[in-house]
Amino acid sequence: MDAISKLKILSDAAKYDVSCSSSGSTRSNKKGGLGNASEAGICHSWTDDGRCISLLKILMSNSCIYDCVYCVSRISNDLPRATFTPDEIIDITINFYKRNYIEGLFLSSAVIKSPNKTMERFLEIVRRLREEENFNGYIHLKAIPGADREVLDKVAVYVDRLSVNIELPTDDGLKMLAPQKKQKDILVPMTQINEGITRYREEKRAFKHTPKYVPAGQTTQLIVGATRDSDYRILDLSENLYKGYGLKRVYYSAFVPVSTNPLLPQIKTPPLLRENRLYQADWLLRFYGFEANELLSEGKPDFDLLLDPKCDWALRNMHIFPLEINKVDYELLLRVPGIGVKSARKIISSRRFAKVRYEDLKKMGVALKRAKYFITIDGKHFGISSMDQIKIRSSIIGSSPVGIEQLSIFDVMGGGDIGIKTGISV
Amino acid sequence: MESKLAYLYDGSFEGILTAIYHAYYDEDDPVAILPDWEEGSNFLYTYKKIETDPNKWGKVYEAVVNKISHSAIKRIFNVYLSEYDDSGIIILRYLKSGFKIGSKIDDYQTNSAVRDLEEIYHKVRIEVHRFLGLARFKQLQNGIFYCQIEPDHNIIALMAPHFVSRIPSERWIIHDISRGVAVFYDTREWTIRFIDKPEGIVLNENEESYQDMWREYYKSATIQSRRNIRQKKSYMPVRYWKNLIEKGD
Repeated sequence: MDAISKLKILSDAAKYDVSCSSSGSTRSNKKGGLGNASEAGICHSWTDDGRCISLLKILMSNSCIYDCVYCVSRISNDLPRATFTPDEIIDITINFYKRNYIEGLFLSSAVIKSPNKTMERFLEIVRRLREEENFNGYIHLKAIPGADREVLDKVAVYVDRLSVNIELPTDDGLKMLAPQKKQKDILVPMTQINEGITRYREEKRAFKHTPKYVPAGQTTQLIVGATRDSDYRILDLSENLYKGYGLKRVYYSAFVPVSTNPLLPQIKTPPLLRENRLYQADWLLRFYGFEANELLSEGKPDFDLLLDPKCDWALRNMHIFPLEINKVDYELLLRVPGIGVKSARKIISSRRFAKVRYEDLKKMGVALKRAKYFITIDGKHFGISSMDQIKIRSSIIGSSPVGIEQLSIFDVMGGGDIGIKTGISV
Repeated sequence: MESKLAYLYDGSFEGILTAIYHAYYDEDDPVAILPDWEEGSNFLYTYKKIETDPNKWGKVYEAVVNKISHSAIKRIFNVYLSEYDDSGIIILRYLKSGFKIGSKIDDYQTNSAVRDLEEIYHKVRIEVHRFLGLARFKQLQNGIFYCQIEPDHNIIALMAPHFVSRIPSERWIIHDISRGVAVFYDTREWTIRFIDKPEGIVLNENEESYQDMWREYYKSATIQSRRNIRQKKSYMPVRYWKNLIEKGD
């Protein structure tokens, strides 16, 4: 099979991995080398589903020994199989990179023969890219649970980012849909990577030339909507992964029906709006100082699909509002719906010189159609006359769809074509 | 009706700085600072030609660096490259506030001159960032990697350093075909030259096969059940598509 036919099969199978970020690493080029990593990440194109292409995201192979029912590459699925040679992957990466198609490589794979065999093949590819080709672009590698510690530590020296997919939010879900996987086994490499990163940071203080160890950190992905797990279970898991394992990102992937197995929910379109709400809530955990149990609880386990999680939270906590824009501190500003990290910073820095006025807020990027209900500006309130949460809720939902453009009831029922907006201020 | 004063400079960054010098020392109050090919474009204006002068622009340059900041020079250079008609006068208003306030000028988000400058600066930086991703190189028969772009702003000089550090061992060209200017990099240094759109370029023998692979990759990376062309267009405006290799819907 020629390289282009393999590429077709092996990129098609890799696309369900949502992460494509090339950020978080500042690898610089070496003399005579090719490439570097840009801290902020660069998008090179956008696909017809509106997702950014930053990395060459491919599987090394789709010939899997496992049979996870939610996965396209499962052994029982009847589809064309292909495996790249290391030479082919290296050639495509280098030549795509020189033509500025990509920021680097995101290599994943089905488990061929055994986890160890798969990881050893990975090691050969990344070692040769770095040492023989002098390639200094971004490399994101998927770690295969079940492989030996030694081989994981070896690849960690060459790559920018490692990720281990947690796959499903609970062990029960795994038992049902991926009987050969256990959450415990997935957490083992995560722990090892986290320890490696911590060790690297400590050693670097003592020795300047400590070899890098996954400088852009580790991430994970889980599938939303393939099991009955609530948003609260998922968000609580994410919080634990951020705090306990030092993860950089948790990616949420709305379940795309790739199989008609009776164990899977029968849905026509992926639950994109739910995925979007989880991303918004994830943002609140990482940048806005929220905790999972503030946003959701056993009594309220799922997000309101009509409201973004921050509005939803604010309406349940009306006793702290309205807040005075010219007085309130940064941490509380961040909790106002419609105010993001950037606009909060702008408000704080401008306040040192002059009072902030209503018209300034708009220019600073505050979404006033949400914020106005929750703030006063020099004592003046611009929302509706009542601070009643039900009235404000209907006013927000009625005036404009929140977080999603042109949200109609049709979309909420799961029939529409709604985009994800992962970076929006919520 | 009283006519309004407009400065004309030679289109260079040094020219704009010289115009700033005159606005201060001639005690003029220009309403526009325009490149000289805009002469006569508005019948309400009285035009005054500014001769670019190294002594004068040198003083303004130093004053900006010393009394405001290095970042202020970078900002006004980017705004100048936006090629907007009002960029000259916005730079003047920004510097007037800057000379009063000093290095903290950019924190004054309630000042309209600061905000206007910031807005244009932001647009230029966004376009630079976009083109660091959207620039596509094709390898020519002689081994040179050649890239054509048609950006809104005059950004090739802002793009060049990125590719110098990234692809230092290849010879490459970034050609803004709408302005007829190009960056040439010869593996040691880069220069900017005026150059017309080339005719009959001959590609390297392997070039087509990498382009085919890229198109194949691009196509298969879409998840059909998540199609969202509107979102794609919002990230990658249609006007940027024509020099790409890959084409979607």
